[in-house]
Amino acid sequence: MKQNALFDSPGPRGLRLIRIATLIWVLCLLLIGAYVVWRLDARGQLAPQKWLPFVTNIKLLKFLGDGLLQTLSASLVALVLSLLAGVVLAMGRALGLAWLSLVIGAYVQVFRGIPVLLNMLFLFLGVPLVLHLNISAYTVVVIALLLYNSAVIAEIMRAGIAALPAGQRSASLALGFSEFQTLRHVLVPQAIRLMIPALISQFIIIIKDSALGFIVGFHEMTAKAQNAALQLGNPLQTYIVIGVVYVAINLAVARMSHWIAHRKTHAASGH
Amino acid sequence: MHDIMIALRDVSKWYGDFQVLRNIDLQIGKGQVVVVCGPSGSGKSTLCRTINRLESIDKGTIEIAGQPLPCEGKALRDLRANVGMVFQSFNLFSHLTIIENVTLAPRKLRRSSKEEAHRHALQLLESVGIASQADKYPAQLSGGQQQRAAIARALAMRPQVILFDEPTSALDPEMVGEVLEVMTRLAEEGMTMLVVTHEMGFARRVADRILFMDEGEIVEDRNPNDFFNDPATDRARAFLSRIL
Amino acid sequence: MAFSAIILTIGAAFLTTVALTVLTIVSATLLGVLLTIASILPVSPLQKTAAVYIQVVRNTPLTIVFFLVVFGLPQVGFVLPFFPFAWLALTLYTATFVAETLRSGVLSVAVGEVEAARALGLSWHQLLASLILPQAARSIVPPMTSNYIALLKNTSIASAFGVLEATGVMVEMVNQNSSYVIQIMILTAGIYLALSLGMGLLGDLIERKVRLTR
Repeated sequence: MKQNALFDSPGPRGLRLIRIATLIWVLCLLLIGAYVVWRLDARGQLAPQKWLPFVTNIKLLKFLGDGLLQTLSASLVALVLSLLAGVVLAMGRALGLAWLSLVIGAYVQVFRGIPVLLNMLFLFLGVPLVLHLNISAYTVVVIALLLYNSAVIAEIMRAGIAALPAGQRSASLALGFSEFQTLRHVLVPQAIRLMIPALISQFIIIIKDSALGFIVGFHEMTAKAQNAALQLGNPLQTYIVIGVVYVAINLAVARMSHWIAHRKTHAASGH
Repeated sequence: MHDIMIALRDVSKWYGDFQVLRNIDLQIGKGQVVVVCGPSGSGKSTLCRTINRLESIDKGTIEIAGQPLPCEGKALRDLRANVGMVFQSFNLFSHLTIIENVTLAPRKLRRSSKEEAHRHALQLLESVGIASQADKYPAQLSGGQQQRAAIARALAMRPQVILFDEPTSALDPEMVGEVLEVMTRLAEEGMTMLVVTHEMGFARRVADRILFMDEGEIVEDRNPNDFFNDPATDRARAFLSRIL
Repeated sequence: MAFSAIILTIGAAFLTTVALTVLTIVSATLLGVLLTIASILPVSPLQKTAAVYIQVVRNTPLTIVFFLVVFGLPQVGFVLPFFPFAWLALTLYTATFVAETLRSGVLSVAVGEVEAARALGLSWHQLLASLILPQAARSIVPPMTSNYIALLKNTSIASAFGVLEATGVMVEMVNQNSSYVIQIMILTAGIYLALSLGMGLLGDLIERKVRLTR
């Protein structure tokens, strides 16, 4: 249902109510805004020296820029690896071998049921202590993201394969393909195309989760922000700026998802 | 006591730049059965929906039983309770059983007690031939049964007028007859009806008047025999040759 | 430290986790309902405010939301202990997902049924109570369960912001008893798993009870 179908088009009294509500709300926003600005100013948070570095301080911008690159790098690598692993897991489960489905099912349940941060901490603490190996923070973050997202993507792909018409599999088997070949050449490619929006949403989740890396010493954007804020003494401003960057990136990725979906429908209808 | 149930005077409506209703003048008397036909996009559905204000109008006036159509509030709700509507896609409430669908409005609008509403509902379902389906959910009924249930739901509020917006257009051909049968009986019982439809057989047998609409205007307003035997305008002639 | 003592310590820490989760479920649902109402009412600035809030906050990492709450609120005059700060950050974040779920639940009601209800003369609140809420409530159970399970897992982030919940205490235990590192990790993961699976089962149960035969 489109949103405006919920209400009748307003008569004169309705319009008046809407106008009053609009006025009251705008007033509230202005009052809250004014209060916030007043309080921030009283604590010196509006002082230019707290904000200007983000425009003038090249060193700072490079510093944060490095963090951004680390964020994007780890996120992309994690996405690609998770896609591969997720597809393989989904195919494994769809083959119909009971023991394999059980193992994969358990993997998926476990890694969807525990926090990503726990994965990171397990690797960060566990690998040096148990395996007596050094492991870089980058590796910790990527593997942790991989463990979680491969499980999620395996589920997404399972839903995608299940959503395909049953005739696809039947026809393929009837042509003489094995279960594996059916998955590889017929079902999985279609399922991927079907699930592209969900997969792109997952990329946004990966980008957000990468920020957890600061807890295990990964020098991505949030960690750099924390560092810079300490040195420059402007934590609030720094986190606001970083927040804006994250939102901008994620909105751009989401927009790309819409664009792809748009292109898909046009391609499908032969335009 | 008003003889004119529905009166539209100089009614116009625009969707942006597109004028969907042009200076409509229409009066429907008590007990009249008026069929509205015309090509798609002619505004006939919109016309039907302006009468209970599911669509608003930009110019002109609408009166129901001598009272101007209210824009909002309790007055509008009271009027809507008095003007029934049957939709092309039935629109039964999918989370309620058939009998709950029929008793919802009478109970909520405090027209009846629970027992009375239930009794009346069963009577109505009986009269449209689906009393045995009373405890089923809409999804379990065929299209024809659902539409008959929708008619019963509209009748439960004892309206003075019923609007039908292409009631059989979404039905498989073999079910159209059972719905038209119910509508014919309603007409014979003296219900004032405005029916937007392509069912010309029904129009010929049952309607007192036929309105032919094209591009937002009422082009012809005749009695059925005259209209079918000798349409006055070329547009009507073209339309009839296409569908008959 | 004896392993049995470790088990008790971690178990106790999970009480904090559960408390944080339950409190946030209540507050985030409330805020989410308000956001949904704001995004549906035909008052344009209200809709836009809700939309902007939802889009901005759901695209921000929860970590940053935490930072902003912890560093921002004191500047505006609100200084709180760690636990309430964490609760607030989690509420502000989770409410956006709740609002989106509720909104799609409301919009999933067929427009024709809404028109039929209006055409019968039902008032707005009768429409809501008899048509929209019953149908929306049934369709939102699985996604809401997912939202709440995600919330449970997100409470782990509070460990980086001073709250002694399960994840934070686990790290402490590992640092103090490095010989038990594997057991501690399995224990912690196991309890999280049990909690999230339990919530999932509860959601399934509720969904089955309210399922609609359409």
